[in-house]
Amino acid sequence: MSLKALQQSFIQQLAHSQSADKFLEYLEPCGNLLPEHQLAIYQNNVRGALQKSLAQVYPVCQKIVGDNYFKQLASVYIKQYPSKHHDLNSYGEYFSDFIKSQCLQRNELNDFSYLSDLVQLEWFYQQVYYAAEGSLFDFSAYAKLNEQQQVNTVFQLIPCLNFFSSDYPVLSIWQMNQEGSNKHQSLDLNSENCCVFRKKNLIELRIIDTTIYNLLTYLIAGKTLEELALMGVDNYLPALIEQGWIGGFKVKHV
Amino acid sequence: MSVLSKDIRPISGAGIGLRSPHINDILTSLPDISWLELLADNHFAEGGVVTAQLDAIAEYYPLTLHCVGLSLASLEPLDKVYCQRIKALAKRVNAKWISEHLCFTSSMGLHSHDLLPIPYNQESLNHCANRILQIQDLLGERLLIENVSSYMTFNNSDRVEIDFIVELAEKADCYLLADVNNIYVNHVNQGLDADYYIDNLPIERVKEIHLAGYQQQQNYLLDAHNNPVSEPVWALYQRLVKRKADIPTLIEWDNDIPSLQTLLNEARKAELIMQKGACHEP
Ligand SMILES: [Fe+2]
Repeated sequence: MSLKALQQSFIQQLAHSQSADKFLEYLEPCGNLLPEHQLAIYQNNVRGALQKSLAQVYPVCQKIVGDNYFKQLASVYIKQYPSKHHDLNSYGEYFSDFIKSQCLQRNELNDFSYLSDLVQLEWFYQQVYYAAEGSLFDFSAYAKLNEQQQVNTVFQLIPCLNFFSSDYPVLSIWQMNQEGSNKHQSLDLNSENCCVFRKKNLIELRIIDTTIYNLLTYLIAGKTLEELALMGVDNYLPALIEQGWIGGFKVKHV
Repeated sequence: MSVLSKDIRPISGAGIGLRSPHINDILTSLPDISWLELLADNHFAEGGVVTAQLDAIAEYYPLTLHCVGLSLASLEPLDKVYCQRIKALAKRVNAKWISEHLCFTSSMGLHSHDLLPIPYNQESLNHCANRILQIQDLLGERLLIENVSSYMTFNNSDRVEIDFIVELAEKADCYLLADVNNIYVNHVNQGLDADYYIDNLPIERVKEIHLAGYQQQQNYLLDAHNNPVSEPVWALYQRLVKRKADIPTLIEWDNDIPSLQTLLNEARKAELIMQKGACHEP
């Protein structure tokens, strides 16, 4: 077997735990370890590393469903989604979709329809934690634009910010499950728009109203100042700049 | 704390692997640590608290970089993005050198996040040597290549690990990182001759030594980095230090991480052995 074929066969055993017969033919017993045992050690190590990584990204989900059940979910996820990136911090990005499908399939998750959104919030938290620093808005450069350029300006959100809308009060649930939280009151089953951002190395999570949520989606879509003004939301821009959510701008050439 | 600025402090004596539970402790008390080794793969963040803390640490301590994702034995095309990330990180923290394991971690676009062994034969040798040369070209410096713990024996291996490593180091003109715990784990699991291994390491190429603790499993040793260095590993370390006493040595501890003081005590123990070794050195 060539080195390439051996590596491919080996990694497939780890990623998909397919029938190992062919691969085992290339192994010899060593010490106390038979070939199938040798392979099992690696399968265990890989699963362990990915499980640990998922538990680090999704601590609130783990707390809600319990350690053992989380491990079960994680091992199903790991089989469906082997790691495709060298950076372990990128692992787990489909966990929210996965949880959504599990909630439909598993009776015991019937009451947890919010879980997928909660998982999304935890994923955003991790993304924001590691994202690049946001720059400060350059007022003097903006002041130098002529009137035509200003109306064609597109404002850019900082990289360490993420937001989304949920049909459930996911941020409140997230906060209730933080260590030392004394929020135990029953929740209104309201939807919540959440924003996760980083300021001076601290992560903040905030509920935002629908107007701000819409404005953020327009900014992501690359709407110009003129278009924002037509929709009547341009007057909220100074506040976003002031709290550091908008870090730059570019002039759209029309 | 040494009075020398970090730029002229060499990597010497016994250091410890930098782990996140200790970072605040280190930054507040600035303990006397000879040097620190970073797990490069934990520091790819573009911003945030981890990055800020690392920059602060790099102000005070000389650092080395330890990678797990170069996948140097892999037949996949070299991940140049990864190489560039390593190069940028090394520059940012002024790393004195970069090390990686003799193994592969990716194939067919899939990543193991575990160090996967290869057979020790001519095909592997040629491939790994070329690959190391290619990486060294990209990074613009020599790599330190580390031996790994292995739980697998391939029937197309035709030489023992240390003979492979000697040939590889020669062919790729690279440096070596001798992990004594990995040698011991492979001695127990695979029956390799640990004394022969230590005595045949091309000592002038060995720029760093790793010491760590294994975990005893039912019928094998797992390189879990979750325990103090074991007695047989200290004994092998002594044997190695007698050959050359001043090789920078690192205590690795990754799971069930103890207090910083426990790690520093292990490092102190290694330094005492180095000092004794210096007296015996021919
Ligand atoms: Fe090591």
